[in-house]
Amino acid sequence: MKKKFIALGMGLIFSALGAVSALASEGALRVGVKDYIVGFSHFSETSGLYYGLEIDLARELASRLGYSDIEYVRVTPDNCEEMIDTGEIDILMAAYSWTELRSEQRDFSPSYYLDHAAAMAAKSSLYTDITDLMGKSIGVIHGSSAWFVFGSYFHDLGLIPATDQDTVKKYFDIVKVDEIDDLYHRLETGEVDAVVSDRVILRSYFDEDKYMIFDEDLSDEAYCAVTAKGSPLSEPVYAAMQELIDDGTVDSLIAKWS
Amino acid sequence: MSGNLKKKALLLVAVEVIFILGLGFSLLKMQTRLALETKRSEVESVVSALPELKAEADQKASDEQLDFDRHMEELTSAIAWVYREGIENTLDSSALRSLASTADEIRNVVILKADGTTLSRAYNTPADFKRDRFNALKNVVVTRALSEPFEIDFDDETTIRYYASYIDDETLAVIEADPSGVKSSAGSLSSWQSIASDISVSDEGFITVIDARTDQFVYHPDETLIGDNALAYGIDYALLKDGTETWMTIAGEKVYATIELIDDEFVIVAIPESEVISSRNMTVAVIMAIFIIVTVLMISYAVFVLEEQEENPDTIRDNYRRAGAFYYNITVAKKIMAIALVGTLLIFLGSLYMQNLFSISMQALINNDEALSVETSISSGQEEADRTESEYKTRYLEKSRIINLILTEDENLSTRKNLRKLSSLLDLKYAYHIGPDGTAVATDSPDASYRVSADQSAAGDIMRLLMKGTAEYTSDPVTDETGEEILIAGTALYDRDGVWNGFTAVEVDASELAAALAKRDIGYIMSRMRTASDGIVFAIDKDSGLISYYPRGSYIGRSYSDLGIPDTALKGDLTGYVTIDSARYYVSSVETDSYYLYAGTPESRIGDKSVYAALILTLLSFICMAVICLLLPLETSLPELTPDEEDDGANARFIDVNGADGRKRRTETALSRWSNNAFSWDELTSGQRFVLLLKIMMGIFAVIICVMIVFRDKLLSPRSVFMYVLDGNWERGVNIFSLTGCFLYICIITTVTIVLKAVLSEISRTFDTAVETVCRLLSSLVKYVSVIVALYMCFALFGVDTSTLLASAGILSLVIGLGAQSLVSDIIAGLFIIFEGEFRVGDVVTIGGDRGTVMEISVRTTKIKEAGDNVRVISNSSIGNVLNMTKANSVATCDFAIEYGESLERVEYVLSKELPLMKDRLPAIVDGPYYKGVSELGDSSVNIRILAYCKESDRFQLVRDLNREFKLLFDKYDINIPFPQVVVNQPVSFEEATRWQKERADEFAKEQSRLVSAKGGSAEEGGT
Repeated sequence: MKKKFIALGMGLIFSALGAVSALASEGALRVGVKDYIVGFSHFSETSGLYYGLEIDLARELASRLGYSDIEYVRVTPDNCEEMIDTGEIDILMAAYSWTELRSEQRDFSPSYYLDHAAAMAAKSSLYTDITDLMGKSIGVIHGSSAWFVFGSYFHDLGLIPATDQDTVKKYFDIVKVDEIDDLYHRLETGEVDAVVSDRVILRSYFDEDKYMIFDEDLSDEAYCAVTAKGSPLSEPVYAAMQELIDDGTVDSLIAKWS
Repeated sequence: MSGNLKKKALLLVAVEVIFILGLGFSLLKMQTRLALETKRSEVESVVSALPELKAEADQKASDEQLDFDRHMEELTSAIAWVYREGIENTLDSSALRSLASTADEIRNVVILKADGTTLSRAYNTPADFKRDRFNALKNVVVTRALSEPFEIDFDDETTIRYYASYIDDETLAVIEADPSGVKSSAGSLSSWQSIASDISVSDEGFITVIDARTDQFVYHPDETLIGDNALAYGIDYALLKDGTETWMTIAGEKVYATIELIDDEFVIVAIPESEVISSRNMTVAVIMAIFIIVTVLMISYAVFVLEEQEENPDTIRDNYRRAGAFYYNITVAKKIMAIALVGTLLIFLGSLYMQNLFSISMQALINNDEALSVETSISSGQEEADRTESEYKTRYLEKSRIINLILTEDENLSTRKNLRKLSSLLDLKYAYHIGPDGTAVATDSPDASYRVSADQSAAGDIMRLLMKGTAEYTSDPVTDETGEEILIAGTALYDRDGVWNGFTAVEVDASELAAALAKRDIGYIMSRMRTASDGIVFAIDKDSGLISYYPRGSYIGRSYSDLGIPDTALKGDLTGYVTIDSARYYVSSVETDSYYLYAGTPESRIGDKSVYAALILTLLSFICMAVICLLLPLETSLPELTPDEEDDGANARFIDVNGADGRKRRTETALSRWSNNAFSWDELTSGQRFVLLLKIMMGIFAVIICVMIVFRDKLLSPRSVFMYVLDGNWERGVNIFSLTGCFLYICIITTVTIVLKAVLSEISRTFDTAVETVCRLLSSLVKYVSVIVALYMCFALFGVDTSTLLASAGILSLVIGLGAQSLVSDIIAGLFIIFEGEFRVGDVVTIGGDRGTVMEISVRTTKIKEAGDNVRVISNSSIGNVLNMTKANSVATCDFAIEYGESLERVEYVLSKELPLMKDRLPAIVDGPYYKGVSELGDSSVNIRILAYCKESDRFQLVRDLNREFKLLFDKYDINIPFPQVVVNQPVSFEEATRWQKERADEFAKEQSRLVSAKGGSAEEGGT
């Protein structure tokens, strides 16, 4: 009997918490963003604000959706999918690109930015061609598909036989790093010979004097706003994003931040 | 005032408000434009200089980096050479350690195999040379050249710069160097910081730089912003275009920005809006104040005149002329036109004055800043020069050290050939190995058998110094026998037992150091300073009086007098006009340890647009006034007459008087002039109202200015015009600042005087007469003191030496004392009257026969109100024989005469009945009347005395009233008052003496004479 009461009490508390979170979600649109991509979505310690293309776009999107307030939630490549699935964030706009696999699990809006994966290496490594990277140690961020993209490119060149993880790892020393800063520090000290990532991210860490980014586009990355599968927001987000693309808002924002 | 007039007045006030708003608005716009125009020309000159300055600064930074790299590469090649020649066979890390110790910047020396395997190293390193990251180093075995230097940040504290030189096909030498020294000297915040410190942009203007690709702040005066995204600080990206001039917001501050794209960076030259506004608002405020005063006076005066005319029905129709459907009041029009003309002139002068004051004070502030920035640049240049010199010397010493190390390792290496190789690797002129006997063991100098004792040149002196066993020494640049500037660095050699064994020395070309120092020289630094508005900067050496820098190079090194600079201008805190090279400049100066630094602007550039601005303003306000002049006297119909219910004028404080020219004028009565009472508005004529209004407005103006000055820290921006005047950092003399200063002082003193007088007047009204006496004296004292203080301060501002003024005041007072003795004695007498309390204000006194009430005891005179309200002014020194009749009750005394024949008892009986009744009839009697008995038995009358107590002021009237009462009383009771009468008498027949009487008379006479002589009377008779 006592146990039942406790269970009931707990249930009440949880449902109350649930109600609170529902209220909060009504007040502000929670958008998952990254904090390290300069010009895209970057958090300034000095001003305590986020800024960048995705930040402006998310704000515009929120207002089109009728939200008066917007809350930016910091996500990492590792946890962003989980956060959208558990409902901790309403929308994910964090340089997250469309893939067939991903689109089966989550709803994607039309793409607002087309990026490409590329490789960056130190100038002092004296690489002249991307094929110089054959057999080198390649740093990628944990949870990203960069290793696959990189392997696919070399596969297309006929340099490696397959694109599965094992094959790629056989031909390259793929180093998966959790922290983005750690990844680029390893490139700096030479622990990895190159880093593969999307160009917008590489640009944030690019130092003209030290590094070079290979011209070759390893893949196309179409960034989209992502909602949980079947979320009531999916449809309005899709429509609003299409509108933002059609009326030129997206283009003008891209021009602003490039 | 009639309803019609009221309506008209309201309409006019509305019109005036519209004009004030309109004029104020256009004035603000114009003034902003004007301020911006000036700023823009300043900014343009800065912007045009930026690309060149940027290139120079970049060049300097990269030069420093290159110098550092070259030095490191030289050392690397020297170390590699040692190994290549097989001289150093051991791969012992202690040998590498001693090689690493030659220079502070070398962290580590590593010998590598071509695949990156470490053969030997001096210390541990965080680097894994097998990694591709170090391919550039390993590649030297292929290229056989030096590697391109590169840097790796291992962590926040550890940054290593890598240099490599090949030893052979298999091995290479790597130096790990610490680049932090060169980084800090090259300016950690890129070259923009050094540029920004060399440039003064207007007054509070600044430069900020934004990376065009990342939109990050590359440079901003607020260093916390650097590296942050500029767009997050309110900068509109749409405005970021090359060559734009626009208003924008940067970090919450509105600025007028001029944007220039230089090397993928947006350089924004920003003038804060606050500066434009602060420069504008004060000017606008003062001009508007003048305009408001003039128009308010004009309208009010017209209303006063119209009102006055309404009260004089006789003349009203004469004033109007018919113009179509309207009537035009000629009299009013004439009067207000006069005011309008004077007002327009005032506005012109006022705005011209404000514009000039403003532009000169702004220029002074800018010049000051410029001079200060020259000072900072020079002192930082000096520091940089010192640092550069010591850096170069250290590097030369390090070269000497490495040769020393090599020779210590193996004395057999000391050959001419080896030294020549080392000289070329280390970029030396010559290298020397001098033995303990002072002769060259080996050298690559032309004199192979060099002897220290034989060298009589300056270089020889340095060698001799090293011969004394000095461990390490680097000389200053000296001239060798061929006339070239050289520099010698030497290090002592010790044998294995630690005994001094001669020294090694390197001789280097000093021109490199000289070139580096030339870029930190005062002339070079000042030539890089960019001033706005064709300004100049120049420097004069304090000791020699020679010109250290002047834009026209031909003057450099000549005396300052060649430029026509007066001796008086040779000081540190100059702010004023100076004629330089036959052109007048407004100049500010700063004094440093060795220079007087000047920044100046040509006179022609200061306020060159102010006349036009003033003219436009005057025109605008003239139009305003013309409209008012046209509207004010206009009527649609003749006004109704409202005859004046003039008071009877019994207590009027204003009376009409006939002036000397026969015209009637209204004036204040003498009595009113010194009374403390306020005026009654209705009593004033239009002219007097006008003057009163003028006084009130000027008073308000003065009070506002005074308040502004007192609370200047809160109300005025630190760089505003008045602040500059109040700070007093300008040259004393008759100039616009001293005039303004005088004006400000006068405003303060006027306000203080007004307040003091008001307080004193209030006190004297509240308290008794003793206080009033003192208050009146203080009030007159305040008047004199304020004038003297104002004069003294103004003289001080005009540059008159006030201490001499004070000293001469002593002599002056002596002169005045002799000339104006009576004045002095008046003042002293006045003081004594008050201190001894002879009488006070309000006392009834008789002074030398003049009876009256004391109105005022001032410093020089005393004013007494006599009967009939006349005012008698008596100089204090002539006051004597004072009868102060101020007491509780005075006594009115009357003597009445009655005939001797009258029965005194009857009279006293009548008095006892009538006296009590008399008091009722005469209210002036406070007590009494009393019968005081018989005062005299006169010749022809018995005089009785009656007295009554009354106020002193009533006394005379009461005496007259009593006299009347007694005459009537005596008549009623048939009591005769004796008066002289001539009585013609009947002739009287006198009686004859009898015989007995005659005999008795003789007898009496004889007896009397006998009695007298018996008492010695004969002696008195004197022998007669």
